[in-house]
Amino acid sequence: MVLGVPRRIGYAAFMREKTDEQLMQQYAKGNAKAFDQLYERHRGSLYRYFRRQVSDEATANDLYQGVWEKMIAARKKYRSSSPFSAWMFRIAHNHLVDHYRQSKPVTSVEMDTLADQQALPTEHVIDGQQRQQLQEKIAALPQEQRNTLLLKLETGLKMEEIASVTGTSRETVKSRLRYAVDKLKRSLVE
Amino acid sequence: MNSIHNNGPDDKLLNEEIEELGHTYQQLSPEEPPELLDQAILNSAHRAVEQKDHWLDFGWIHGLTTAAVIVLALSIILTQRQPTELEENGLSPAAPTAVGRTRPIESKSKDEVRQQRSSAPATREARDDSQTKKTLHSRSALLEEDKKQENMMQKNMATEAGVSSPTEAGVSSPTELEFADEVLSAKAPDDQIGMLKTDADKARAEQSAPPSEKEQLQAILMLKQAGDARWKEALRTFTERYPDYPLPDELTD
Repeated sequence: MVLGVPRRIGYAAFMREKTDEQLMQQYAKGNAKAFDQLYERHRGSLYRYFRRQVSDEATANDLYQGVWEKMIAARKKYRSSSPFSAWMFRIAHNHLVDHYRQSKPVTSVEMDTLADQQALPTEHVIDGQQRQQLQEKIAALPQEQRNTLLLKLETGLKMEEIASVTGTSRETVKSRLRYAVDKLKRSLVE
Repeated sequence: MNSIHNNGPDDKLLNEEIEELGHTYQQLSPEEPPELLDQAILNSAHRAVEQKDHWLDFGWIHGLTTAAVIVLALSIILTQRQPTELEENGLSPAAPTAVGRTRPIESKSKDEVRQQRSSAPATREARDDSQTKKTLHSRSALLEEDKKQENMMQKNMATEAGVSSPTEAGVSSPTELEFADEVLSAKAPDDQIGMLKTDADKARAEQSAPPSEKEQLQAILMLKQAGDARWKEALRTFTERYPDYPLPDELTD
């Protein structure tokens, strides 16, 4: 597990500590400190998930807070049979979809055009520039591809779990990942 | 990045490419939520749980209150049912009333009550068949019981009169000793009075009074003649209570 939450706290420490599922169950039973620990583990990944989906920071903040509020309200409905990350990002994904429905939808065509316009690096780029480019290219990806790629990069979920989160099939997830990776790779190499 | 299932060469290639991309992605500026947002979310989470905890803290009071109400209600029902059952069984629930002098009668009456209680289930079963009969007989049974008590009381009074001269009494019988104890204790238990049911019993209770000094001395004398060592203690108590009362010669030895 390279990506996702566990890599940030170290394997040994992770094994010693309680799992996300245990913490969530404890919080559902009334242990507020369990939530603190859980929040500390996932605040970064969830925030970046929204921040890189939505250009406006205030909107990203609203979405981020809204998801946590939903999780707090739904704490008793959580079942440890599914991974906590999958549960959390399913809520986040649905929240984001609701947001898109309420605001003006951004079509994939528009996003693809934007991506093509921005993918114009002709010179050799340094690492710092490359990172900045990657951020821009990710933001320019079509919504579904960006969402799938960010779920993969931020959470390390399996394709099946991402399919469950987004309500699609594994093949669809794989296809979106393939398109997203190809675009990013092409634009970064150029 | 090994979390992608390898379902073929294409998956493997995709897996490697995402892993490579992931390394670059990790180098992106680690954006984090503002501190104020963190605090707002954590406060919200704590509030949600604390509200629940607050309710749980006082949840036991509801249980305790419910239990107390149930126990109280049951005790009231049982208290009210007990005399009714005794009356239905043809018994006078009240103990004989004359305090002190009627102790043997009271004991007998309590024994009867116990017996009646032990046989109460059978009586209840039979009651359904002969409810009307019982109702008719209960009145007469009560009257008979009252008569019996009066007879016993008269008998006791006669016995008391018989031992009024300590020298004639000789060795006291167990009943007399009980009577002596009762005289010495000289208490009119409130619960007995409270159990009085009929007006006749109430009247008898009013008539009963603490034993006189003479009666107490007779009782002490009876104890002495019976060889009961408590007579000295009783005499001492008596002289403390009535220091100027003249003692008979039998007790001054």
